[in-house]
Amino acid sequence: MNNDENKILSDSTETITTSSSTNSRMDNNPILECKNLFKTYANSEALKGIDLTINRGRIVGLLGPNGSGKSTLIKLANGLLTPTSGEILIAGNKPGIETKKIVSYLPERTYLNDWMKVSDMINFFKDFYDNFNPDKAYEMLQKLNINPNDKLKTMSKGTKEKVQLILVMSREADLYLLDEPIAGVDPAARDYILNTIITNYNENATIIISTHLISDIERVLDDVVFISYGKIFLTKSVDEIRETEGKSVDTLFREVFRC
Amino acid sequence: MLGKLMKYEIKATARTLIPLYIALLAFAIINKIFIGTGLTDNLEGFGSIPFILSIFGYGCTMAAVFIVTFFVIIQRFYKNLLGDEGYLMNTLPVTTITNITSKISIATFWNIISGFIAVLSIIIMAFKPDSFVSFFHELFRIFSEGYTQFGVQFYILILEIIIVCLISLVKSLTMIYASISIGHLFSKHRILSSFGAFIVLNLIESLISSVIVIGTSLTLKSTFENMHIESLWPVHSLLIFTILFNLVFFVAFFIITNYILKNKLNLE
Repeated sequence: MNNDENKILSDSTETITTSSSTNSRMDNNPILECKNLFKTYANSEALKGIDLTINRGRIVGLLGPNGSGKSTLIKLANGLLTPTSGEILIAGNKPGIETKKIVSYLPERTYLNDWMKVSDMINFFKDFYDNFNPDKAYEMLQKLNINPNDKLKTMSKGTKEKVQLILVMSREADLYLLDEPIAGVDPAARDYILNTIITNYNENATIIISTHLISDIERVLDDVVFISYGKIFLTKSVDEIRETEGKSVDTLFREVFRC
Repeated sequence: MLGKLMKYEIKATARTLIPLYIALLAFAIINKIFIGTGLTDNLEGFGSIPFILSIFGYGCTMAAVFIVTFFVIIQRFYKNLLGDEGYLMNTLPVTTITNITSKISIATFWNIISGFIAVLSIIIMAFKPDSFVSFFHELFRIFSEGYTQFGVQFYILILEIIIVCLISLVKSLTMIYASISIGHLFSKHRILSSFGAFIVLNLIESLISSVIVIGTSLTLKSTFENMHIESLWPVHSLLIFTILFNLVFFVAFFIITNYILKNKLNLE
């Protein structure tokens, strides 16, 4: 357990150093940009004027209470929703075929076809995504003791979530959008999954993790975005929070969103 | 990408439909054996039960083939694009048009195959070597007679009829998809709303078609009366008009479906 934690920490510091150097090079080309973004549903406003820029090579926590607009923002970035007004850009493009090629998305729902085997899903991903690496997927499946020839129908909800995460992380994407990636998984598997997340991506890629389980993921984050009632409340790097506020992200979150 | 989508669409649907086709053809063969061996000539008492059962099984399977075909077509669109699986399908690097096209083409394909299998099962049961020969003999006689009377026109006519059938099938399927998409716009009672949308779209279509038919029949009545009986032009123009009419509605339903899936998608 201790060894695992150390590994995660050392890995994340590595990523921070490499990413900050790449960042200065690519500051003029952010991976995700929201400009005065509004999204209104039939009877409620989900996002009320989001302005946000996220650079390449970062691990970003998108944090907020339930119903704050986290999933809506991620769905907009995937083109599953269209903005009511304003703009959302991924690597300078509006959501479309070009952005879908470079975005790897883990929704909160299980989208796997029940009748398929895990290996069928891997072939499916290989067919549709040029940046999908099947070897990586098989390797991760083996580590988590999941048989690629098992049918998804026979799997538990937690196992399905693991399979889905493996599929998503086996893509060599520029932007990973992970919506509640660890919510349904037991704490022991959480460590492995977080480890997987931070070790299985290249330094130029950005990972956005939406969650309210902050204490679990705090150690892997570079930046945090607090979102509340459809508005950005705060955007800061984790180091900044620790230095200027002198507290952990979890504590800050609890203070900010005190009920 | 369209080819890959179609490949997975066939895989996902074949595993339900192929076993049904096999069952239907199997029942047809069993019935044929009963009929062919003369077992049916002296049906008395318990001896008739197996035959009655196999006829009953055949009838049920026949009904199932069409009901299941219809159900699979609806379910694939609803579940795969608008249900949880939609999170995957709508984030693939393909256009919405490609996604819809793959659904429509495979749905059309299975409709035709189901029809073909149904006819095949009837042919199996009715098969008699001599009557089979005379059937084709008759068929060729009709074709050659039609050709001598109307010339190439006759074949063009047959081609037009096939196109009419095909395009109205495609249009009906797209109408179903448009209805499901419209139902998806509602936040509650989506399935009920889809039924409502289907009825409304049907009403609109038949309203427009009857207005056009009444309008044109009044003006064309005199022109038709002056024409020679031998001329196929009235039939041609009617068929071509039907093709165009269905084509316009197909395009309209496609645009509705595409617009909703692209801009108004709201997965649960």
